[in-house]
Amino acid sequence: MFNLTPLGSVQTQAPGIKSVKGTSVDGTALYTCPAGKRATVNGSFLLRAYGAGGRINIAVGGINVLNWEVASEPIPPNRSKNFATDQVLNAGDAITKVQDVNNNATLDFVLNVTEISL
Amino acid sequence: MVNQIPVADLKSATDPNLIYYPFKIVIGTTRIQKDILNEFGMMCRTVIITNNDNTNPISVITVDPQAPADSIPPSTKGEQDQWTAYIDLVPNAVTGKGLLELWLVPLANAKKDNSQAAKVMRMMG
Repeated sequence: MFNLTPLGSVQTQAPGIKSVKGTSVDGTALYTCPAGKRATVNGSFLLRAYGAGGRINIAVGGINVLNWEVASEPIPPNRSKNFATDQVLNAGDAITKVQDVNNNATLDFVLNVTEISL
Repeated sequence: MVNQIPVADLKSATDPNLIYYPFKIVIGTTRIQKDILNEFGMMCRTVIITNNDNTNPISVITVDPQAPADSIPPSTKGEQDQWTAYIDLVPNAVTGKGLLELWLVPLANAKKDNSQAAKVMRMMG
């Protein structure tokens, strides 16, 4: 029997703050900044499986959002790392990618998105 | 031919002292069948299936090839902590996409130590 977890499920923690959980994705719309708002992103990563070794370069990006490298350092397997970024999402910007650029590891992640009404 | 080791001869699949080797297989649009014990000489303690197909489920059979299939819905991750020497995974032939992770344990490490000393230790709790 498999335990099932929806990918990219958006949960509201507090007014203006949303939490998006998932596993390495590329192409799934995890979060889209709604009209009339801006958003900033921080979050945490947990490495589930450490494959070929070497540096883990985590990229977050998507529609209208330039790929930005969140972390570039050796991260041991089954460890978590927090990150913050000054990346700002505008209305219509969507996050569709969270992955290890080198394809060395599978990432479980939680993105915390803070929305600000304009 | 699929080999099966009796579960009673194995340690618990969730034993935190088990050292496992993670093995990743990209899921595309074609079936994935693995006789894990014959191919790797190892048992699989955990299966993680990430279905990145937004439209269709992935069908999967583990442990017993004759058992009914489980279904991993679209955009869903499924995790199973259970010993298996077999997996038969069928994605959608057009939209299939995802990742299969097998946590593999060498058979010698997976088996219970049935030496007299180990039996005494277990009895003593």
